[in-house]
Amino acid sequence: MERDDVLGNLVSELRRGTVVLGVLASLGKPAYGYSLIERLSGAGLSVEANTLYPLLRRLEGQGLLTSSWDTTGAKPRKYYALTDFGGEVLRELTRQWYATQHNLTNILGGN
Amino acid sequence: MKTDLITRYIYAVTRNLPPDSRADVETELDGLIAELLAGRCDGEPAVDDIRQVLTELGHPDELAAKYRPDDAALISGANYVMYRRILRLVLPVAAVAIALATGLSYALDWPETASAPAVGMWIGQTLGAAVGGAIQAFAVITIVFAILERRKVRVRGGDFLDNLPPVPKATARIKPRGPVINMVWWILLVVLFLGVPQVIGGWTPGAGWVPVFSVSHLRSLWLPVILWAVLGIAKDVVQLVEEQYTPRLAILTVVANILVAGCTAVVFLPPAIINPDFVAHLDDFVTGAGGRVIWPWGEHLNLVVFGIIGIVLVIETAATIIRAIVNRA
Repeated sequence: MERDDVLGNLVSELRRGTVVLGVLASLGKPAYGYSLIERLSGAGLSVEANTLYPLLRRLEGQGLLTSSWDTTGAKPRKYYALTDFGGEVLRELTRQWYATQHNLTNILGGN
Repeated sequence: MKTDLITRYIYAVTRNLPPDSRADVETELDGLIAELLAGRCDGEPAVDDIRQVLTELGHPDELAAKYRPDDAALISGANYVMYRRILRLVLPVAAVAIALATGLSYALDWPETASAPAVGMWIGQTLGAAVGGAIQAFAVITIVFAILERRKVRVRGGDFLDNLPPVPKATARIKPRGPVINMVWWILLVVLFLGVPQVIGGWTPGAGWVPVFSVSHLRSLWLPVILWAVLGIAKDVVQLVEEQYTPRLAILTVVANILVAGCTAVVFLPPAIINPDFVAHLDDFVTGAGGRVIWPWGEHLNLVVFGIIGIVLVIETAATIIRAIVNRA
């Protein structure tokens, strides 16, 4: 059990940053929370709703996303879109991701 | 019933959020839960479906915490390290200072014939004051650090490389319990000397219990006795701060012990400190079997006490200086 806890925490830490990158990269066109979950899940990146919704608000608070309510449906939906600053951050995070991936592949390959 | 469960869940989450974001999160969660239920069942969701979806969303407090990641901790990071260091330093000092003040307020009004219940009450009051003082100090420090945390103030200096503490040698480390225990002893000593000095004495078949010291005379010397304790506690506080034997601690010990020696001289050099009745009954205490005198310095008891304290002060001073020099070498 303790082993599972340790492993679970480490996997969570490893995924945390990648979820942000995945969310930003998936917002090329505006999306609401639930559709984003499905979009990410379809791409193989499973994100819990209780993680994604607070994350979207946080990214909005940091100026990376902007939001607007669509009230034409049965239930109002909050659509999120990348801001210009969010686009800049996405490009830089993508560059960092490839650099990290390259370096870690070398390290892991060395083992 | 079904929607009531959802409404209550959403309320349980949003009541822990800042007021300006509650309505927004409420609408968003309501939509999310509807989407999750629609993806799960074709028609009207059953109660079990709702319970399953809400269970997957997690405990309302945990979900609320995810909406407020900046408020995850009361005190965090480097601030918490500093907070613990300050607590370790201030709590014992606050407890001892309050206990000393309380103990003294009783000791100075103490009747010469104090009863056992009165002594018990004094001990209880003093211990209670010590605990109360520590709790107050804990509360104040915690509140200050919590405010700093909320305002995102980090209490760490910029130029840390020039202020790194030296690594002490193993023999030069001062563990906190030593100075703390010493401070408690100082309090007990002051209370013993000013509160119930009559308990220091001897019992004779003829006269009963005879105090060594003149109680009224000793109490008239309250100022040097208190100064004595304050200087002793000051040394202990510096030891708590320094955490190792340093030249600064050695210098302070020399100065403090010279002053302590002066206070000791004021208290013990005048012969009036000794109870004349005790001297009169000295034969009962100092005469061993066959009339052999085993304590020849009875009439100069005050000088003997002064000498013992003086030797202890010299040894303590020398040990502190040597340890500071060895630690620095």
